Amino acid sequence: MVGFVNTIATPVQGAKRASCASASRRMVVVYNKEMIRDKIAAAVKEASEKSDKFGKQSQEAAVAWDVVEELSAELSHEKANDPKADPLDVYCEESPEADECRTYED
Amino acid sequence: MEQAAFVCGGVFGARRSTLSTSDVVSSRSAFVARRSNVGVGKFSFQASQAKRSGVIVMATETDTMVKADSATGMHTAAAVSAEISKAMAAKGIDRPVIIGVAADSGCGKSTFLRRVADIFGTKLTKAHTPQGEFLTVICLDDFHTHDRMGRREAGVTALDPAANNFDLMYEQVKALKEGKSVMKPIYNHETGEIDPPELVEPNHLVVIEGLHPIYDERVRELLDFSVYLDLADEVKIAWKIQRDMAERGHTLEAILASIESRKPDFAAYIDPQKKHADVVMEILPTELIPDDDEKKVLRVRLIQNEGIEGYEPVFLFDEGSTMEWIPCGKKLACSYPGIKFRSGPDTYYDKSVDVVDCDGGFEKLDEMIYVESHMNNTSTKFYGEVTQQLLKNSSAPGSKNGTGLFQVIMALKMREAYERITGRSITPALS
Repeated sequence: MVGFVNTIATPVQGAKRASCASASRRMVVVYNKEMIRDKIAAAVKEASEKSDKFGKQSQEAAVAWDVVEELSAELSHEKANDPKADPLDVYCEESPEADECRTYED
Repeated sequence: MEQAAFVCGGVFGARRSTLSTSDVVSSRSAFVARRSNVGVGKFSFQASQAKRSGVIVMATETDTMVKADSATGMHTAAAVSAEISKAMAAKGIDRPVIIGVAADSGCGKSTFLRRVADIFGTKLTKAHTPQGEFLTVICLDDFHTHDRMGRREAGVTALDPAANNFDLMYEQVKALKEGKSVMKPIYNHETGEIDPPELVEPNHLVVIEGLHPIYDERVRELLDFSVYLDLADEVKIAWKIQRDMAERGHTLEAILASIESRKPDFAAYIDPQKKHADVVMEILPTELIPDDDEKKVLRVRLIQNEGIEGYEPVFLFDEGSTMEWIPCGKKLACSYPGIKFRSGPDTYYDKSVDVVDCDGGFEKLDEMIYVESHMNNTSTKFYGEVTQQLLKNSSAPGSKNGTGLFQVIMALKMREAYERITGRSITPALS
C-alpha cells in the first residue's frame, strides 16, 4: 500500500496559512505513522507464525523478522523527524522574515 | 473502494495518479510496468527513441544522462551522467569526498549525521536523500535489488549481499566521486517498494550510510574514510526494547526473536566489515554499574587504525602509552556512576590500533570541558569545540556520555580528513 498525500485546507478562525500547511503536514505524518504501525503489527504476526511453522532459526523466520525490523526502524525515524515543536515556531525558525513571524515590541 | 494514490516526483515535476484496487490486484508485473510509466510518460516516450541512441536527455536538467551499465532488474531506470556535472562548477567542488558509515539501525542515523552537519556548518535537509549546499547523504538501501515482496519470495533478508546491487552502487558512487551526477534508485521504506530514481548531484561531502558501505571491495576503494558502528548484543537488545516496546504489536519475545533470527546473516555479511573500517565505534555495556539492566550508562570504545593517511588518533596524555583515567575526585565533582577513561595501543583483527575508551557519562558543562582539555588530537579548531557541539545538540541521545563525545570527535576527524584531501579549510561555527 502506498502512502496517501493530501493537503487539507481546513478553515479555522484566524488561522494563518502557515499553520494550515504545517498542521496538514503533521496530519500526513500522523497518518503515515498509523499505517506503519498497522504494518508492523501484521508483520510481527506473520513472523511469529513463520517462526512457529519453520523454526526460530529458519531462513523463512529470518526474512519475516527482517521485515519487522525494517518497519520498526522506519517508524522510529519518522518519530524522530516529527516536528514536536509548535509548527509555527518551526516555520519561523526557517523563515523569520515571513509575515506570520513578525513580533511587536509594544 | 480502496484507492492507492501517489505522487511521482522528480525532475519532471509532480504528477498525481490514482489506481484502483482491482488494478493493483490484477497482475503485479503489470502494476509495476504501469507504475513505472506513470509520471514519466514523456520520459518513456523519449526513452524508447533514446534507447536506440543510448542517450537520455532530461527535460529540465542540463546534464546528459546515460543508462548505467549495471542498471538491471528493478533498476533499469538508473543512469549516470555522461560528463562532469554542472554542479561541480556551480558549487566550486574540486573533488567530492566520500565517507562510508556502517551500522545496523536503518538509515537516518540522525544524531550522528546531524552532528557531522553541524561541524561542517551545513544543514541536513529532510528529503529522502538529503542534498544540502555541502553535504549529501545516500542511504544504501536504495541499492536493494528486490523490493520487500521480492525479498520474501526470494527468501533473503536485506542483510544478504544477494539483495543488493553492488555493481550499481560501485558505478554510481564512482560517478559521484568523479563529479558526475546520477539517477539513483529509491527504496521506499514505508511501502517497501522501489520508486523511480532521483537525481543526485556530486557534492563537497557525500556520506553513504547503510548496512554494506564497506562490504564490496570496489566501493571500499572509493571511500576516503569509513566508520563502523558496532553495538554489543546487550546494548542492541536494550535499545530495540526501548524503541519498540512502546508500540502495540511488539512483545519482548518478538523483539528477542527478531534479534536472534537476524544474527546468522549479520555475522556472515555485516560484522566482517569491521576489519576494513578505518575507525570502529564500539558501544558496550558499562563496567561501572554491576548488573546494570537499564543500559542507560554505556561504555564506548573508539578503535582507531594506525597508518591511515592523515588520520591522527585521539588519545589521552601521551600517544602510545596505556592510561586509565578517572577525572572525578577532588577537582571535579561527578554524579554517579561517574566517568572512566582508558587510552592505549591494542591489536584488533591482527592490526595495530589506538583505542580510547569512555565509560559512564557527564552531567555538567565543566565536566565536559575538563575532559576535553585532557584529550589530545581531537582535531578541534578552538578550545571547547567538542563541548560546544555537545551542548548544541544537548537533547539528542548520547549528549552526556561517550556516544555523543565520540560522535563529535568522529565528525571532527571527518572534517580534518576533508580538509586534508581537498586542501580547503572549513570555518568552524562559533555559536
